[in-house]
Formats: sequence, structure tokens, C-alpha cells
Amino acid sequence: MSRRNDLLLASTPLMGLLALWCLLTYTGAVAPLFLPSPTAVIRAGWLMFVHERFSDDVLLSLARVFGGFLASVLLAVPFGLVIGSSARMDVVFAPLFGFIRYIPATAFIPLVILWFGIGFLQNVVLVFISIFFYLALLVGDSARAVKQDLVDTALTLGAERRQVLVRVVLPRAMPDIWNSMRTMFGVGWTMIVVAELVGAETGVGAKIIHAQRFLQTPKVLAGIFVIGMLGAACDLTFRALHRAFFPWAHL
Amino acid sequence: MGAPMTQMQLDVTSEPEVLLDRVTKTFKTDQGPIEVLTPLSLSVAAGEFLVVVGRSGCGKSTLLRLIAGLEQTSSGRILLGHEPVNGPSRERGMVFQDFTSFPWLTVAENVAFGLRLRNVADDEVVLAVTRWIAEVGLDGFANYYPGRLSGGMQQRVAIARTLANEPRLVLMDEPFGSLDAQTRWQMQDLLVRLRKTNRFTVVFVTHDVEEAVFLGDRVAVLSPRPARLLREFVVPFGTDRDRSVTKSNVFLEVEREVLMELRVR
Repeated sequence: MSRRNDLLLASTPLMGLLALWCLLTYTGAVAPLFLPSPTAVIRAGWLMFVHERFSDDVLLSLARVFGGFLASVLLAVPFGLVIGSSARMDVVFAPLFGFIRYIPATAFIPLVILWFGIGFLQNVVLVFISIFFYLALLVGDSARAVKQDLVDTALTLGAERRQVLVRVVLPRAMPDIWNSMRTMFGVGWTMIVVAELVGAETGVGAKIIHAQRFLQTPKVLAGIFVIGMLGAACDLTFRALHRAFFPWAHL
Repeated sequence: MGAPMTQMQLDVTSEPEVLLDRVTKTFKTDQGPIEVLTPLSLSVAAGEFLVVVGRSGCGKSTLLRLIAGLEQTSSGRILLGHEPVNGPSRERGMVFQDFTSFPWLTVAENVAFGLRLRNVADDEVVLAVTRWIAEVGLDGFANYYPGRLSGGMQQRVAIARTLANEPRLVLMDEPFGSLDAQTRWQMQDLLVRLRKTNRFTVVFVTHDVEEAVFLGDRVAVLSPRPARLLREFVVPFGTDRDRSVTKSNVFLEVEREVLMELRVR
């Protein structure tokens, strides 16, 4: 019952927005060039997928995000664990990361294009920059939050330092880390569109900027919707996997 | 200053399993150094159950952490057998007051944890896990996550996990302090029962005097901080005891004397 209520509540603002959109466009209150009607956007989206192989762009964007995301995770998780469980490492790296973290990843775009040119690698590097530093610090916080008693217990059971990290700190912190990964994937997903807007010929972002140049507003909107829906789908997947991977954290 | 040796008849024949030799501990804080242990000497015989009592905050937990190797002594030395304690090791297992079951592991995996650390063969692990789950009365819960268990059951897991790892010395830091009275008695009975069939050496810390006299072969009373040894009492019930001893005159007498000792200072 309450689930149905939640669904109703959640869809209310969406429905309101849709109604407003219909009202503004179908009555001719706003010119189609600035805001095309829902039918026009759906038609444009359909045509993009059928005639312009938009699905290739979508897959390419996803691949770029996942590339940058995976590289970030593979480096940030061990790095964060070390920062979070060693006061000395924290002293060494925290200020640097705290500094870089506050530079918007977009500020690196000119430099990254200079170093890596335009295309797949450049996009992946930007996604990496946008995720890695935040994620490492978040993983560090999660590692620090693991109770000292658990670590002490493992030590008195004979665990060595590395075993403590791998067998206690990491598994205990993993549900938290997974949530940080979910959040940072969203950040990467927004970053890829920006990266493609300025530095790619293909991908969802590139398609949007291309359509804008030719004043094809329906296509721009269709692209935006696809981005939103894919982001939401990824978020839901992360949540579902959290329950599947960490049943003990949901007791 | 030596410990009052008159009361220590238990280990005249054998060498002490654990020896604390003029151990001190001072913590450095922003408000200046805090002296937690003044020179403290103590010994535990192999197979003995020593209970250390003292008021809250007197430094008895610190004493256990020093023996565990989780803290460094400021001076003096701690020996296990002939080996100086130098950092934590599986030889000195510890059960904590707060529940420390690993929540991401099932009961069975928790009990197996120490054995897995040193790559004990699978069939041996299964054997030990089955045995210790039964010993602590957790049959049927092997595949439960600790999050589903009550506090008492979580402490059973912690005890099984420690004993399955076959330490030379078991350290227990107010392990039943967070449990309700009923459960606490059950857990004390469990410890007494385990001691009848298994030989292990224990240093057990508590501020519950009844618990101390019911469990201990010997009760060491510490002064308020900085802790020093006030007096030791031998409890003459051996390993074959049950709840009925708490009604005996000897029990009440020792209990009264320990209480006196704690209250006087």
C-alpha cells in the first residue's frame, strides 16, 4: 500500500512538469524552436535511434564512463584504504587530494585535450579526474569509520597488517564504499557529457551539441532525456546490487 | 614492590605461564601524562583462571590490552612462557565487551576467521568450527549473520572464535558487561562448563565481584588509577563448580572480602 503511495507521490512533480510542457507547446505559447512538443521530441528520439545509430553513441558514452569509473575505483579503493587506516599516509596525501578535489574537473579539459588529443582516452581521463580524488577521500572516511575493536579482534586472532586491511577494513567498509561508488558514477556520467560536448565527435554529448548547431531542438531534448534515463537506470542497478552483494548490511 | 606472594600457592610447582614484571603504563595526552599503571607485577599459572577486579576506569582494560600487545608498556616486561610480549599475536586471543562479531561473515565464518588467516586445511577448519559452535551452544545458527543474533549469542560467537583459534592465553575484557543479568549468568555458566572439558588459561577483567569469585581460581584486586595490586584472593572451588557454590560460606566470605578491599580505598 505504502509503496503504491510512494510511487504516486514520486510521480506527482514529474506529471506536473509534463502537463506544463504540454500546455506551453501544444497551445503554441512557446515557439517550437525554443521548446518543441513532447510528440516532436519522441519522434526525434525515435528517428535518432532508427536512422542515426544513436544507440552506438549511447554505448560509446557508457563505455567511456565505465572506463574512467573502473580505473578510478581500482586505484581509489586501495588508496583510500591506506589513507584511512594509516595516520601517516593521511597526513601525506589528504592535503593534496583536498586541493585537487576542489578544482572542477572541467578546468582540466584544455590540458587533457593538449595531452591526450580528442576522443576515447581524453574522455576517460576526464571521467577519471572527476571521480578519483573524491572517491579516494570517501573511501578513506569509510575505512576510518571501521571500529577499532574489529581491527583489534583481528590482530589478536593473528592477522597481519595487510590481512587486517583486506579481511576486515575492506569488507566492513564495502557497503559504504559501494554507496560512494554509486554517487561518483553519477558524477562521472555528468562529466562524460561535458567532455563530449567539447572534445568528441561521437557519444551522447557530441550528438547533443551537433543537433544544437543545426537548431534541431527536439534532438537536443531527446538526447537529454536519454542521459537522464540512463543515469537513473544505473542508479537503480547500483542500489539493487547493494542488496544482493551486502545482505548483512540490510538486516 | 612485589606482589603479596603469600596467597599464590597455585603456581609454586610450575613456572608461570604469564608474567608481568613491574609493568607501568603512562599515556601522553594534551593535558599532560596520565599514569594508568604503577609498577604492577602479576603472574598466571598455565590453566589458571585469573580475574582482575577494580573500579571503572582503574586501568584494568589497559592491563589486558598490554598483555594482548595492543598497547606498549612504558616500562617493565610481560612474558608469555619465556617469550616477551611484543605486539599482538594469535597466542593471546581477546574477547571484548563490545560485540565484535564480524557482521559480514556468518557465525561459522566468524569462528573460522583465525584458522583461515593461517590457511589451516579446509577439513580441519570445518571440524573445529562444528565443534566450537556446538560447545558454545550455537547449533543451528552456523549460517546466520551476527546482525540477526542477540547480544548474548554474539558473545558466544566471540568466545568460540577465540577458542577455536587455540590461543595459549585467553583475555576477556568485561565480556558480559553489556548483557542483561539473566544472560550474564547463562554466559558465566557457559564459561564454567567450557573449563570442565577444555584446558585454557584466562585473564578475565570485570567490576562485578560476584562474577569474579564465581569464575576465578584467583581474584586480583586493583586500586583506583594509577592501578596497583591491592590484594589477591584464592578461590578454592577448582574447575568443577556450578551455580550452587555462590550460596556457600566460602564464596560469601571471599566475595565480602573483595568488596571490602574495593570499598576501603
